[in-house]
Amino acid sequence: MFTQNGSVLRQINPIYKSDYDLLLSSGLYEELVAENLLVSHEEVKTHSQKDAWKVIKPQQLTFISYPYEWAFSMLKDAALVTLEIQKRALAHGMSLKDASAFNIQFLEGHPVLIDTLSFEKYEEGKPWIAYKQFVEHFITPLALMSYVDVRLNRMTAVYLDGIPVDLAASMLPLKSRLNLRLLFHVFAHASSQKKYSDKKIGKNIASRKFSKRALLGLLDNLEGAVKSLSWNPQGTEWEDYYEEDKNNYKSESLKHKGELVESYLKSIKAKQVWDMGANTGHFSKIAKSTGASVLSFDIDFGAIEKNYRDIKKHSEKQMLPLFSDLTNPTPAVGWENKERLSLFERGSADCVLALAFIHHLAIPHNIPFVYLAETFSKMGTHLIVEFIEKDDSQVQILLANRKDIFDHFTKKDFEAEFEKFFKIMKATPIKNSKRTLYLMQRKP
Amino acid sequence: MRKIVINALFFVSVYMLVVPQPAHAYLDPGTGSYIIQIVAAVFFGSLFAIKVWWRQITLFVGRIFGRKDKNTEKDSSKKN
Repeated sequence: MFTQNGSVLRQINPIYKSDYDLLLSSGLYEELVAENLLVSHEEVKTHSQKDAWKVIKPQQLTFISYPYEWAFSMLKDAALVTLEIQKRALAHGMSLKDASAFNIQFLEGHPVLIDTLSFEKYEEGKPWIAYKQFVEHFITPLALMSYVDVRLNRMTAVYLDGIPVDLAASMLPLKSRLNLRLLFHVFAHASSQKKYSDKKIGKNIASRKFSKRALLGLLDNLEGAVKSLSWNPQGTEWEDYYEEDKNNYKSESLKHKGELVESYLKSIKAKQVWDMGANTGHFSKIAKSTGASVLSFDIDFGAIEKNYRDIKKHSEKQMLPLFSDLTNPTPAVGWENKERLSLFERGSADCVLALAFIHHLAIPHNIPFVYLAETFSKMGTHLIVEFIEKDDSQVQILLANRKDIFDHFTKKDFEAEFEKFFKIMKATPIKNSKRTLYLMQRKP
Repeated sequence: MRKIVINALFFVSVYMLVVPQPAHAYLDPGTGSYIIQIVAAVFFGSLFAIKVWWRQITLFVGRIFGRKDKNTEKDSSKKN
């Protein structure tokens, strides 16, 4: 993979020629692209890659997200799509040699495979080479999120090759063994790995064939395992934020704030919006309605889950809900810390939305306004930010059990510090509230 | 009843990890993952065959009583 003139291109080496030809001639490529299961590509001519047999230019993605930023149902859907693709590949005489969650991206609301070169000719008699990878990239994290805690999704950022079955087996509760598919794919699998880690393979096993029917059965069983795992957001932090009257989202101010966000975004014609602290996506939807593509970030897996389910239900195409903790943004990880990029390395926005957000950083985390301004200035050219006075009930909740050391939490200080990095273009008080909504432009 | 039989089959298969005879190959850490598929091949194949067979039975019975099979319905709606 390499980039040329800002486009991501992929080199196909001569060794992959027959598999690539089969992908096209078998009709598999056409079927998968038509069904939105695989990114499309075109063959391009370039002289820069001398040892290449061919160079392809896949459909370009505006943002790459990682499994450790996905909601439970996003990982689950990515797993089901991987199995669906493998079944279709088998029907065309091919098989997936990789089943990495990183090979799946969300495009227009749907999970799609982005690794065009992960298909190989299926050889009857062989088991699925990507079985272990599938289990450790999908089954173990989903099982841990479902049976233990949804936040264990973040383990996938540490275990980039998937959460090892033995580790998952040690963490899963006893009752998970009653799920027979988990009993097999996680617990028996872990025992098998342990048993054969330092032993030689038996002749009787090495000579056994794995029929196509067995492989279809395995895929069917894995699909059942994925479907058997569920998680529902209940009692999470933000789940019912807008519904409850305890906050300041009285209908009039909420409506007015929405109108302001819409008019600000339209005035700058933003195409890429990053909504930080998006909750379940209320304002992301408003941003989307102005024609922008929106990344809808939140720290709460319950909110992200609800947002994703809603996107699926309404077949929204321009919104992607993702996990983000701005106090500890997704770092670069993997080989030389270059394999998986940090949040900031993966792009920036035309406009960042920080609505009812900064007091959550300024007060509990004691982050000075100037730091926030600098960070937002790195994320996008424009900023729509809401300032909430200290006597607002939401700020008072944050101050309830802490000493008020925040003398600089004033509108005057906020404006002075943000003006070090931004030019204030608009500032409008939100009706029926103690809040002000700003539109700012980054200083050159 | 069908579920109980399948579950019983499953348990038997899971614990049917046979003790192998030593041969001449050193193993990588993925060997256990490879082997568990192989030893359960018969189980996966049989279970899948039973599932397909069962689907055909329900389809047949459904036809007699004038009901459509759910899977067929889904597939045909996709094509339209």
